[in-house]
Amino acid sequence: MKIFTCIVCPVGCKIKIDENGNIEGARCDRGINFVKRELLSPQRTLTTTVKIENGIVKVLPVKSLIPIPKENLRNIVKEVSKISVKAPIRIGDTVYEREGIKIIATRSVEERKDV
Amino acid sequence: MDKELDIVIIGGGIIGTAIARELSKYELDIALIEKESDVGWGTTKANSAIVHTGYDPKPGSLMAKLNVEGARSFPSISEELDVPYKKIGSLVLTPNNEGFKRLEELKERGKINGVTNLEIITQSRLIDMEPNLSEDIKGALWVKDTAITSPVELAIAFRENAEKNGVKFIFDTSVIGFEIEEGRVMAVKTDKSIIGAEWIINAAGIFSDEIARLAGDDAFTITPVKGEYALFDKEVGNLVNHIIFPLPTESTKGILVLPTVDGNLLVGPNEHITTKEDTEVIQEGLEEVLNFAKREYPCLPLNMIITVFAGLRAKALDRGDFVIEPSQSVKNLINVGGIQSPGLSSAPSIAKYVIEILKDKGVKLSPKSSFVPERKSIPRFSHLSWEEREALIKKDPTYGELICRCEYVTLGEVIEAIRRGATTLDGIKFRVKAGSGRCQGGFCGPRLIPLLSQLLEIPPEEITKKGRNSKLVVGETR
Amino acid sequence: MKRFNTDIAIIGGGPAGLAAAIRAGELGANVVLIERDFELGGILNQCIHPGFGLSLFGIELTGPEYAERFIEKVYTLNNIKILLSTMIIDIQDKIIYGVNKYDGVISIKAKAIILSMGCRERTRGALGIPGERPAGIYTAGSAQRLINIEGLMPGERVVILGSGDIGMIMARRFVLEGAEVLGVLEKLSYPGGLTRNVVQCLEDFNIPLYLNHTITGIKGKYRLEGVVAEDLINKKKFSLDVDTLLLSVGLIPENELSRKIGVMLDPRTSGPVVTQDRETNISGVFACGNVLQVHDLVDEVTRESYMAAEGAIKYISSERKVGGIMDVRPGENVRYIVPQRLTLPIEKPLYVYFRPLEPLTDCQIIGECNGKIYSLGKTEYARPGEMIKLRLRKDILDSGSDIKIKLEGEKV
Repeated sequence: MKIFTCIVCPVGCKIKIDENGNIEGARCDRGINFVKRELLSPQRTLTTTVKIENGIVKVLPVKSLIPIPKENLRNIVKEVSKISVKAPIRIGDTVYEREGIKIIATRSVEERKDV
Repeated sequence: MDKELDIVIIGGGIIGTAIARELSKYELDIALIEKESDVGWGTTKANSAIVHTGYDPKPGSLMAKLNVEGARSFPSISEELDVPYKKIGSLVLTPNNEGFKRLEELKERGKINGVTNLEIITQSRLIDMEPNLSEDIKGALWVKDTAITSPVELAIAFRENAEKNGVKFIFDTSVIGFEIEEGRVMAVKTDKSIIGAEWIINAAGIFSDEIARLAGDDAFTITPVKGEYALFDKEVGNLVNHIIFPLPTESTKGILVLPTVDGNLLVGPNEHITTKEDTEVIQEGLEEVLNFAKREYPCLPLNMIITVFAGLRAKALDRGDFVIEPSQSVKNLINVGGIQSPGLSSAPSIAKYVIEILKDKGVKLSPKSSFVPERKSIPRFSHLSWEEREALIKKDPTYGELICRCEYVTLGEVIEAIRRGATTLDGIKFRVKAGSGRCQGGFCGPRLIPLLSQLLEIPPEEITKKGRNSKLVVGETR
Repeated sequence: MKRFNTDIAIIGGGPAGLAAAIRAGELGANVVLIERDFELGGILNQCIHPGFGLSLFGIELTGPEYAERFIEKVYTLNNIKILLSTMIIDIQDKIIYGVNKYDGVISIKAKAIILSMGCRERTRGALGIPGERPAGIYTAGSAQRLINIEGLMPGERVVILGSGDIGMIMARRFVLEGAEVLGVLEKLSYPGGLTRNVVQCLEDFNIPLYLNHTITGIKGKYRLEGVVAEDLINKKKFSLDVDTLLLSVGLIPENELSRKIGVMLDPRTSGPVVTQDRETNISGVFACGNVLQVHDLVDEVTRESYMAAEGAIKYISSERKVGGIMDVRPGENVRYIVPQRLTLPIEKPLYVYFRPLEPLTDCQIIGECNGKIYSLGKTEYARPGEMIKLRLRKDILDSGSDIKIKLEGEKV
């Protein structure tokens, strides 16, 4: 039997799953799906920042559009940290893409006017 | 050899900078060497900031003479240099009736030293003056003319004025030795250069005995005595109205409770012999200081402490007084050592006393006709009226951008501080107060680091809190 | 002096001020929204992690995404005037005074004021941690600002004091930026933030959580060299070799301005005492968001700010009738309750927000009102780090009497 703390929402249900795959303790379906996923191949949403040139801010916050395997988090952050984008950026723009990963901007950034 | 100067001053604390400014009134080539990145970072930045009147030092001592003279010149110097000075008066408390005898002794001693306006008062008058004081206190010696100042601001003002009048300041440079020929220093050896000089003034504070010894002079030994402090939020600033002293002992004036010129409340210092690098506040020390203060002010709110710090007194215990004299072993060295309390109060007169020593030694002191005595401080947005603020912002819009929200400090003030020599976060803090408020730099810190990097044109990972290796960040993330 | 005259002035353009401005603007009021930073969004701009909007929008957003929804909206309402890079310094007789570099000194005369200034972090000085004063000690929020806004890395070997959400989130952030995080030290016997953060920030990265631990010493004169940690149970001390100490030891509502106009504060929240409309004791002055009570979820900040805006609208259109008052007080095991006063008549539904003093399981929420005991609900786990939102029963609201709410449960 394994006990997971669901991280899908702030409630943090303690969900039990036994050897036969019976799940109890989830207050919603998302929790059930979370536990199933967590057993097979845990995933996390990646959030980080990338360099942005000529913008009103120095770094652009980004996230993975879909969760990525937990064990790849650190490597993918390293990979993503090498990229650089140019302002202007619109929220939701894809800033990096390859097989299995899509990284999008989580805010819009205008071009810097004064220099 | 790099330079050939008339005078080299070693040490940029309140004493060294006061001497530099005083000497800048004469036609002399002067340089001041300071091992830290700014002035006033030794004992000058960690003391009670009091201008004592001079009743306390032993009559006939150099301390007594220079304290009384120095205190008298403080009001005019503070005005000339645009530095805070508040004559709020002090009270030496006695918890019992026996103590009144001691207070009488202090009053007598004061009279001998030339201090006036000393009055013994009893409990009823005391409670009027200090409503929050414990009722266990029976009376006090009221010293009307005691004042508070801002020691680092004063050192900065001395520096700016000395620089304006030609003195060269050399920072991040340590004296490591002297070139000596026939009992004369020919040059000062630093970790960066060799500087030729006619006269050396040793104002190196805690390390003044070591500097003297480097020249072969072991006339005195400095014992570092640590004093710990707690600084309280401005909300508590009006808990006391005067500087509160307990009855003094032989060695120390005791743990004090007093307002600062900025409106905070300061408690401390205790007294413990330590090593020259130890400015660490320890739990027991903090408790000692707070417990003492709480006995006098039971309603002292301990949850309103914003920071704690410690300073080192440079005591020349073997000499029992200031050591301000020409060296016996080196012909052109003047030692200014053992400057413990009342060192700050005596700073202006110590400077003049050193001038007299130089005169005695035959140094030519021609007054400089171009000497400019006044120095204006950086405009303080938080203290200005709305009209003054409007005018200031119109002239310079950077005074309309608040960068320190606790103390209401503007970008314009910070830029001016950097222009006047601040290269570190602490340098900015001591000049314009950004970072000294209740959030202790939490808001302005992350904004000041890139600003310093931009204005000083150095990478952000080289910006420091207080020089040396006190770097703030390890690099850019991207 | 540039003068503004408006219906509602809102001080603070973070999530609370944004929501209040939008609601007030949509309801037809002229609004001036004042923000000290160069752009709107407040603390959300640096909260680049997900955890926002699940309740309000049904999808999980990062802080900037949540903020941008409101920022976009607020710029579409042309009865909202936005003042950026503007710091409010004083309020006198309900006139607000501030400065910015464009207009110089400004004054804003408003019929109603909404305070939404957010909060600041508790500092090391306030904790009285002794030791030297080296560089390398940051509050978690300052470190977050450095990394996520300024693009600067505070250090490489980190220890975190305090298991509040910000501390745990920054633990993960530091690891992902390549630093080593040696642990999170928590003075109490339970974590301060959400359990999900213990999982996804600490357990995911094998960062040890030391409960019942604190820091008793700081080493390093210029840059931090290490800390002395102490196990509060067996009093054992150990050293941690670090160059960075992060403090996540509490948030303090930023009420310096509120104090200036005489707003009465609740010592339990450090925020204003308010009615269900979020009105303070000064009529026409409202408060919402972290300046009122420190929230866990921005969704609730938004809802609370809508309430404050609606309250301000009612006030300026003189629609507000104030009949009697019911005081709401925290009873046993309850740290605080907001709102602290209910003005009659009460528009239903009405929610109260509170936190337990310490963790409890099998928890009953009990109300005492007019001499009667009411069962108000129950919850399996009640934690100080997770605010409880409770709808009050009709019969209690109709009673017109003061209410006391307490929690009964098993201590964990």
